[in-house]
Amino acid sequence: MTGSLSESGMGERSPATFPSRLSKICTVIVMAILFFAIVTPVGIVMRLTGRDRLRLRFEPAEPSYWVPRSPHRQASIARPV
Amino acid sequence: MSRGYKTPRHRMRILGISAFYHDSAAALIEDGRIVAAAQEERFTRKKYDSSYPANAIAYCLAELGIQLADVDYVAFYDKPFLKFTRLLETYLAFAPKGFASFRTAMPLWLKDKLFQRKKLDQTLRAAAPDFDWRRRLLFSEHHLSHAASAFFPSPFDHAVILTMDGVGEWATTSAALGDGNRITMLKEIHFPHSLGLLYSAFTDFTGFRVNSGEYKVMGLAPYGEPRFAQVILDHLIDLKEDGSIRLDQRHFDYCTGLRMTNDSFAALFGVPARKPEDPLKPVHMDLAASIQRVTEEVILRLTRTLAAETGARSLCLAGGVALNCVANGKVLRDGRFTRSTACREAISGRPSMTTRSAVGLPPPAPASRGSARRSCSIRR
Repeated sequence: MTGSLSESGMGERSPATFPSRLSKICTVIVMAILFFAIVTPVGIVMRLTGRDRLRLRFEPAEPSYWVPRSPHRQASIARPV
Repeated sequence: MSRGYKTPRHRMRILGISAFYHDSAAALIEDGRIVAAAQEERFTRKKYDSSYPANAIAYCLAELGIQLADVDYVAFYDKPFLKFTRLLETYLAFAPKGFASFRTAMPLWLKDKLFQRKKLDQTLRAAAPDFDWRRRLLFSEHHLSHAASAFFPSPFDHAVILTMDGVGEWATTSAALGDGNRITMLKEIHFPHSLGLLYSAFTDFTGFRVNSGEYKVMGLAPYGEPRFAQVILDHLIDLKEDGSIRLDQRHFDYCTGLRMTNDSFAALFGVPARKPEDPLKPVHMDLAASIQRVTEEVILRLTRTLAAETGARSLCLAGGVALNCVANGKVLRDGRFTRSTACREAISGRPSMTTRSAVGLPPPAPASRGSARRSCSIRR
């Protein structure tokens, strides 16, 4: 999930002091700039050019939704990617 | 070597760590044998504790009477960078929708989660400064960890391994072949199409906690009628003959928001999402029965296809969905496999303990282990 409680760290509360509130506001502003000025236009262009990385569409003609994993693409446990 | 002189035998020790998601844990393997495993919540008394499992690690080491410096490898249970790319791709696919999720998740990733390797490296270096942890820190894949957790402790030499869960990096369902001490991944179904998240969506919708209350939905199912099963098949998922699925994201919220389902989902069933404190009504039992019926149908199609494709007679099930013992019973009675085992994320409950030699570990770094240059062939 992109927004589960465990990924968002909700539940950890600290006293809402002025600096912490200011920091939260700044974070939201920076995130808004990142999201609406970069992620959104890039995402829209990608979709307009037909990119569908999440394979969101149903494909009635396809017999299967499995994605094969070739022997060359097995996991390398030495790398974090 | 002269007779009577015994060189101390090197024991390959691997510490598995699961952390920063849910239910952090640690496990210690010595020469392929699980010697200790524990979940962090048992020590901190914080349910589902997702922090670095310092207490669980200390317990595992103490069980064997060793220090962190005596460990050859530390294996982390998934690949954080891949998970991050999945998050980014999800935002790109839905933007401008998804800001609520983005503004909550992204600061955490940019501040902490993206640098898990560095963080782990620093933590381990603090405990054992002389070791080159960069060479000793391994990152499995979420589903490889799951698959290993079921196959390696099983009594089988050859088996097909079916892993089904919510989501790890990209894979939500995967099929693999286990052969001796190796696991080969065959194919996957990718996020956001997930049987686990579908089940969790109903868990949330019926008022239970995601990643925890799924067993309550399973327990609620026999009290209801599966009258919504066709609605699920017609509107929520596209189920292929071989059991592979896609989910219609118009009815779900987990890609872009902080909930599992949206109003469109509720409209399909004609009832609002149940709050945890609300009374349980027959409709909730019917919802539980319906998702249970669909889940069983999907799993049976998956296992039947895998049995036919691979010819394997042994099956290992792993991942959160494989905790659905009612569905597992159906698979067993279906008779496609003569032998099967369902092991969640290994015996103590997490995938960490199993991130071992599934894809062949390099020999340990010579600095600390002298001439010990055995590759790790883990056998049960």
